[in-house]
Amino acid sequence: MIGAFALSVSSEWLKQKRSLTFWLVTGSAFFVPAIIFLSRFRRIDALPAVYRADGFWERLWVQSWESMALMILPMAIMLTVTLITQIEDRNYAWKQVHASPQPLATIFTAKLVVILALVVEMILWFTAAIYLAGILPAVILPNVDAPPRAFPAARFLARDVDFLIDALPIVALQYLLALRFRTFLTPLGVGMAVWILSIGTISWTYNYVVPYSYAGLDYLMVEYKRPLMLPASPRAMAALYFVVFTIAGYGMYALRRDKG
Amino acid sequence: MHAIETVELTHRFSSQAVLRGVNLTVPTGSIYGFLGPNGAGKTTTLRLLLGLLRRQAGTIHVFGQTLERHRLAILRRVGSSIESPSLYGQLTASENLEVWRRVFRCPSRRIADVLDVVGLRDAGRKRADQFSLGMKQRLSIAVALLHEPELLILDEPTNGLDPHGILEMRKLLGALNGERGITILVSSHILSEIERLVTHVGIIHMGAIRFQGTLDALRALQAESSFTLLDTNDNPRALDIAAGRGIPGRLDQNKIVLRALSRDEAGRLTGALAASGIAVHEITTARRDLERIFLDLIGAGE
Repeated sequence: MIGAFALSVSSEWLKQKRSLTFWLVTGSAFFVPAIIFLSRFRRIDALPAVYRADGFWERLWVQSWESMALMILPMAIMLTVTLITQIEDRNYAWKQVHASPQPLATIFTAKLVVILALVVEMILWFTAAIYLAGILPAVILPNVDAPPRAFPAARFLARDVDFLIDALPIVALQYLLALRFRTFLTPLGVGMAVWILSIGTISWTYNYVVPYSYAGLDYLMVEYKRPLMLPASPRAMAALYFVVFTIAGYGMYALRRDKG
Repeated sequence: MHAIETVELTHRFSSQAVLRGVNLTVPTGSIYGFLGPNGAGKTTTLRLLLGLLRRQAGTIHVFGQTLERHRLAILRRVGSSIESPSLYGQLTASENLEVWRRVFRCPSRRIADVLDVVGLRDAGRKRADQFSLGMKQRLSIAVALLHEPELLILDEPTNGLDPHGILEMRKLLGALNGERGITILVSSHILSEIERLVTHVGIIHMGAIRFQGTLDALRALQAESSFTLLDTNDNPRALDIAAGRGIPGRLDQNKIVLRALSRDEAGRLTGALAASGIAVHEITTARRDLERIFLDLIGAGE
């Protein structure tokens, strides 16, 4: 049973080989750190002091995650989920998938696992890119020393897990939409609308009801220490939304009359 | 035993009935040509057989088992290709097969085996989106054959192929049935494309089966509907002379209608009539080919 499921996941993983998802995942991960890296060279004379300061890595981390949490992570997830799901639509392959001896739950879950693996990969690449953006100027420029303290990998990876959980509602709702609407633009358009709503209502007391807002709220609460009144932690609410959207998504998928 | 048997299969899309009590019987080991014009209900039937559409009314048995109860077990023994080829364009032919090899849990050597069977041995590393339509159709069949199925369900596999491609496809399907004993259900809207391939025929039109049986039974129907027309200066006497020679006929609109005569028979009969002093004004034989029978059955003959 587990072996069959693992083979279904590996089959799904193979389908995205040479697709745009690789460029999307790596591009999204390296975009902000690359800009930060390049911007270092605008004021090379100030760099030695920046690198000597305590909390160098923390500042770099906060700076990098600002755009990631609020903008790039939601956008990249929306595109990744839609691309992965649309592989079947684009290649007229749903009928072949559903004529194979796989339970519907296996097909649904295997795709979801691949999507989650890509999101994890993106966040891990992003963390590696932050490290590279921090360390490379010290390697390249002779007058810049390496930061005095080591890169706090364990702490940052723990925060990565937080942001991953925060992003789960985006994954689940986009997956539901991409399975429901077999065009590229509709799930993306609806997702963009929800994301814009989450940004537009960021100062609103009840912003936490918008399912795409948790990465941003988590970032503001933890990195900026902004006191926000939430009924539960962003992670708990995100996990709840994820479970609800996933069950709804599976229900809609399984009850679909036309399977290809 | 029948590989496929449907009883009173009925299906509607919104208020429109697309299948009306279809009783399809595909004998094990046969090549069953499922014929009908576009929109007749062929693809809907095939999608129902694979569980791609939810059954509304009627029953479906495959290998003697109910489709709904034993869907996964049945699908393990069935290979299919429905409508356009389902291939991942950015993957190579071998990678496309690898996707399904993992799902069907077959040994790796099967990829080379099926590429060989469909004549794509040298194209394994080529991306599927660089394939011609004929190659895509063949790769689709390779996917369907990967797990060594007992039954192949192919929806218009010759669609878009040139005459050479159609011939190749016919040879391939014939070999799969003849050498491996695979039962094949193949749909088409052109009888002549599969006439030389199939052992059994089902003709569907407007969601209802108009004919079902062996190809020989269809040919018998063809013989029944062919005739020779004879006109002389004394038709009643000519009718008697023909009957006396074992060729019964009837008068229809002042002409004699006989069963279809061969050239020799026609020659002998006209000689006998001339010897009896009867002048033959006209003798013609109308042979109805299978295509005409098919068109008549689907009501497009006129």
